[in-house]
Amino acid sequence: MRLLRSCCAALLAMALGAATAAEPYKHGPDSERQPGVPQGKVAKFTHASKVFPDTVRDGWTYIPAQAEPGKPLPFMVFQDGGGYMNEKGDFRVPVVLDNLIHKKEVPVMAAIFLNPGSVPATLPGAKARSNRSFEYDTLSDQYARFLESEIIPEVSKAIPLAKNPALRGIGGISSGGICAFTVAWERPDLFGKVLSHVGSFTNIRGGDAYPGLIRKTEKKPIRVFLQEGSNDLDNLHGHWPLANQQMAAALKFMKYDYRFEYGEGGHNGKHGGAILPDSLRWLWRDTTTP
Amino acid sequence: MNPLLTLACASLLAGQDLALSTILVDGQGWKPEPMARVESRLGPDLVAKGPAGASYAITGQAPARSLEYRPASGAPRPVTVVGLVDPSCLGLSPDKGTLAVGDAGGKHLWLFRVNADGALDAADRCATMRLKPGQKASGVIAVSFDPGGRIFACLPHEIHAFDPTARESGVIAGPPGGGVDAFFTNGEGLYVRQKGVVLGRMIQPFPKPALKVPGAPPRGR
Repeated sequence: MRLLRSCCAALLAMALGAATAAEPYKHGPDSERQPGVPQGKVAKFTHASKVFPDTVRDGWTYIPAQAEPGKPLPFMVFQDGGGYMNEKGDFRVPVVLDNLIHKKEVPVMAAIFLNPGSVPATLPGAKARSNRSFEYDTLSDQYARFLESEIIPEVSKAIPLAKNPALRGIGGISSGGICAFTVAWERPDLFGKVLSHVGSFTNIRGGDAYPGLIRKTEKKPIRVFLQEGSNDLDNLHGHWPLANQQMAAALKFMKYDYRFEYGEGGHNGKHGGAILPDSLRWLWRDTTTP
Repeated sequence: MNPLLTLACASLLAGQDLALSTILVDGQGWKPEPMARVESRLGPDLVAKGPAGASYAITGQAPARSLEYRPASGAPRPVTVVGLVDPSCLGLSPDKGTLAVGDAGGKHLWLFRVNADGALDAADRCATMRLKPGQKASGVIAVSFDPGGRIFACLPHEIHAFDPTARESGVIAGPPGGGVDAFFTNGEGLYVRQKGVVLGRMIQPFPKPALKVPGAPPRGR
C-alpha cells in the first residue's frame, strides 16, 4: 500500500514537474489589455459544411476598430479557434491584434477563428463524430477547399477580405499547425503566411512526409513561422521536436522565408502564446496594404 | 488511499495515444481457435442491422460492389458516394451511430453517420489504410469495431488498427501465408479464418479495466 502510494505520488509529481519545470514562458504587455487601445469586435457564428459533409462547427470573427467600411482587410484564420480567441487563454489573439494594430506593428487586419467540425449524433445514445484529426491531419486540399468555398465567402458577407495571398495568414496548434501548413502548401494562391505552434508534422496521417516533399518540390511563395519545444511529444505518431526540426531544416535547404523558434516547452500553447506578438510582427513585417 | 491520488493515477494511465503496444499482448501470436461460437461470428461482414428496423448490405460482385440501405419499409436504396470504389465490408460502432465501410478498391475506410431513422449520411473517408507503395486497392475483407470503439480493418494478410477517432494505431501481422477471408473481434481477441481454419490472437482490451487499489474503501464511502 505504501509502495503503491509512493509510486502514484511519484507519477503525479513527474507529470506536474514535466509540465511546470520547462514552462518559463510568460505573457508580455502586448498580450494584455492596455489602456487607450481601441478594441475590435468579436462575433460568433456557426457553420454547417458540405465540403466536410454534415459537419457543424463554431466560429468567430474579429474586426479591428480601425477597419474602414468597404476596404478589404488582410486576415488570419486560426484553427481550434476557440482557444486562440479566448482573451484569457495562451494566445489571446484579439488582445494581441488590438495592441499591435494600434501600434502599427501589423496591418489593420481581421481574424477568423474556427473550431474543428463534428458530425452530431441523431441516434439517441450515440456519440458525435469528431472530425478534427481527419480535417486537420490529412494531407489533401480538402480543408483549403472548405475555406475557399465556404468560410471565406460566408465571412466576406460581413467583412470584406483581401484576395492577395500575401495578405492572408493561417495558423494553428498541434494538428492545427500542420493543417495550416497543408492549406498553404496545397493552395499558396490562397494563403501565403503560416503560423504553426507545436505542429504535428508526424505520422498521424502521413504528415511526416513534408520535409521530403519540401526538399523536392519547387519553392512555393509562402512564409512560415514554426514554434516547437524540446519537451514536446514522442509517441506512436512520431517525435514532435525532431519532426519540427526536420521541417525547419527542409525549409532552410530550399531557402524559404521561415523562422524556427525552438524552446523548452511541451505540447501546449505556453511558449507560442508568450511569443505570439513577435510571431505576428515577423509574419506581417514589410506587408503593406493598398 | 488518497482518492485524489487514485483519480490522478487512473487519469495518467488513461490519457494515452493507442500505440500497438496498447493493443498487442507480448508473446501472443496466432493460435488455432477451437471455439465454435467464435467461428459463427466470423464474416463475411456483408450485412449490418441498424436502428428503426433498417439494415445495410454489400451487394453485387467485386470489383464494383454496392452499398445498400434497406429501410424497415420500402424498397432498398443504393448508397452512392463519390470516391467509394468497391465497398466490400461493413461494421457498426458499439453505439450504432456510425457505420464503417471498407473500400477494397481504394485505401480508405468510410465512416457514415447512422441517423435515428436508419438513414445514412455524413460520409467521408475518415481512415486510411497504409498500403504498399504503388498499391491502390486495399482488398479489405472485413471491418469491425470493438466494444471500446477501436476500428480493425482486416486485409488478406494483415490487420490495420485505428483508434476511435480513426487515426492509425498500426498494422498487425496476419497469420503467415495470408489468404484470410473472414475476421471478427470482441475486443479481447482477434479471430480470422484462413483456409478454413479459425485462428485467434489475444489483444489488450480498451479501455483498460479500472485499477483496483488494494485496501481502498469501496466507492461511495
